[in-house]
Amino acid sequence: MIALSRFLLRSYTRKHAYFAPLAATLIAMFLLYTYKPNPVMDSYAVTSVFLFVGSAWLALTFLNHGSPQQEQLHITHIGGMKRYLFSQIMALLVPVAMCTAIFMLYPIAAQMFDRPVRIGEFLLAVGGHLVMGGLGASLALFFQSAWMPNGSRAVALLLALVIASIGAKSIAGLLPEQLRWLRWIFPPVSPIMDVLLNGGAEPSHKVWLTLGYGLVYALLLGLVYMLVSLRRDART
Amino acid sequence: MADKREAEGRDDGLVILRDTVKTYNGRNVLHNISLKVRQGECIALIGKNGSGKSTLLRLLAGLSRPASGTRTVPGGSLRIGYVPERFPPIVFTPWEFLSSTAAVRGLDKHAAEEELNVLLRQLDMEHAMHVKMNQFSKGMLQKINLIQAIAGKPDLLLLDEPLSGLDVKAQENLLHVLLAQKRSGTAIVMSVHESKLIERAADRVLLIQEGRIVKESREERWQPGAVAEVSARIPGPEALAEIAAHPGVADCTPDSDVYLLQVEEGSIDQVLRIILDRGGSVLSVIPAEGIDARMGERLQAAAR
Repeated sequence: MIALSRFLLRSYTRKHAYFAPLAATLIAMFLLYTYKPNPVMDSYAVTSVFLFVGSAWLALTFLNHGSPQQEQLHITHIGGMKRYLFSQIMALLVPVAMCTAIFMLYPIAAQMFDRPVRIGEFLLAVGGHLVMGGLGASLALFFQSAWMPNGSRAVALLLALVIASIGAKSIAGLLPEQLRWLRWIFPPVSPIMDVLLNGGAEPSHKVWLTLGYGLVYALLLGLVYMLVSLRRDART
Repeated sequence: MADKREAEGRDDGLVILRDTVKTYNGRNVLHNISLKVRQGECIALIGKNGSGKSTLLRLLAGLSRPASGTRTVPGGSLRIGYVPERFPPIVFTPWEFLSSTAAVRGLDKHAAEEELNVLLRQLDMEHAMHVKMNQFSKGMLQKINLIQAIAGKPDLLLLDEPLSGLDVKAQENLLHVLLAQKRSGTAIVMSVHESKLIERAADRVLLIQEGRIVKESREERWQPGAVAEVSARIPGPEALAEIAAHPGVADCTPDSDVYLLQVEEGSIDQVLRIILDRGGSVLSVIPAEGIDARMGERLQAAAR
């Protein structure tokens, strides 16, 4: 599966489809750090949201970069749909991890913060970025062309869902009391953003539980994707 | 031969379809297809475009699921080589692509590289192995398509129009490669239009019409009296007349600057001696491994 993940990443990078989402995400980060000094956790909370949006976009271009015939060959080479899907998801996590590394290390290396980053803050921010990136990528799984052949509609719907996820707390606040539960349907982007912002003030178990909730949400999306994909034909 | 194995109780089905139905957009494109593919046999699927041949190949490959009926692999797992009708536009060189796919298949690196070198040489692609495939012609892409499927000696080869885009020489080379694969035990199921491939490789021919197998033909291989194909250069009309008149020569047809002779197995030595004695040269002798030529032609006509 590692060999196929590596192949998929090579094939993706050679098509240069990664350029627009990666450039947009990095530009957003550089704009954030135009001035210094910056508060540590507030900055990391914002870049984790950038990573959520960027990962969704990157994942969509990654999932759409191969042709149906290429997918058919991969499935026969690796010996089944399940292994292919695992390889695909593994490959998808590589750019998320790389972006996390950039978002974490750039401000430290460029001395953009108003004070040194504590180890606890660093670990919390790494966890937050990885979970946010995973959430973005797992959302995109359902909007790839294999699931939604109309590309424009897929992008519009994914974008709407991304926006709703970021603003879920505010949107829920506008809803009548009996519909407030709807905020739990959306990916837990705003709760994670909150705990990253207020990480120091919250009890640590609550902080990690919130990240765990995001991780479980992303894993569930991945699981649903796998289960449904295994019941579908390979693209033709 | 397959029936004999079955009669002896060694039912070595690699993949079995039972009453499979495939539906696209509410329309049945395959109707109650039952098929057992056995080790070392070659099945040719013939029929019009849109008759369901490619769908059947994808079903056998496990790339699509039947709406009803079952696909079973009695051995548990199966190494499949699949040649789709069109090769995907991949921005790799053949060597990068083929060595990567060998790694994905879990093949030993050195053994795989050796095998790939042999296959690239056999299909005359050595010169282009480090050239990006986006500069390739249809025929060149088809050769890479075939090599990716054949490499690693799969248990089952599924070929969708394998000769598509290949020139005559490449077709001949491919035929030799396929026959060698078959002899080593690989089962082959192929969708074909070319009677040459059917005649020389297929053990069974299935005629498919509107998603149904409407006719099946099978021939025992290596029958006494079977014919071999001899490709030879014959100098002058006199020598040609003498050879064509030999009772062991069933057919003699010109093919560019050579002649293709259908020679009965028992007369091959005599005919070869005559060709050489008259100053001619023998280019190849291919044993009759497939179904009877006339049968192939009849079925092809029915498919049109």
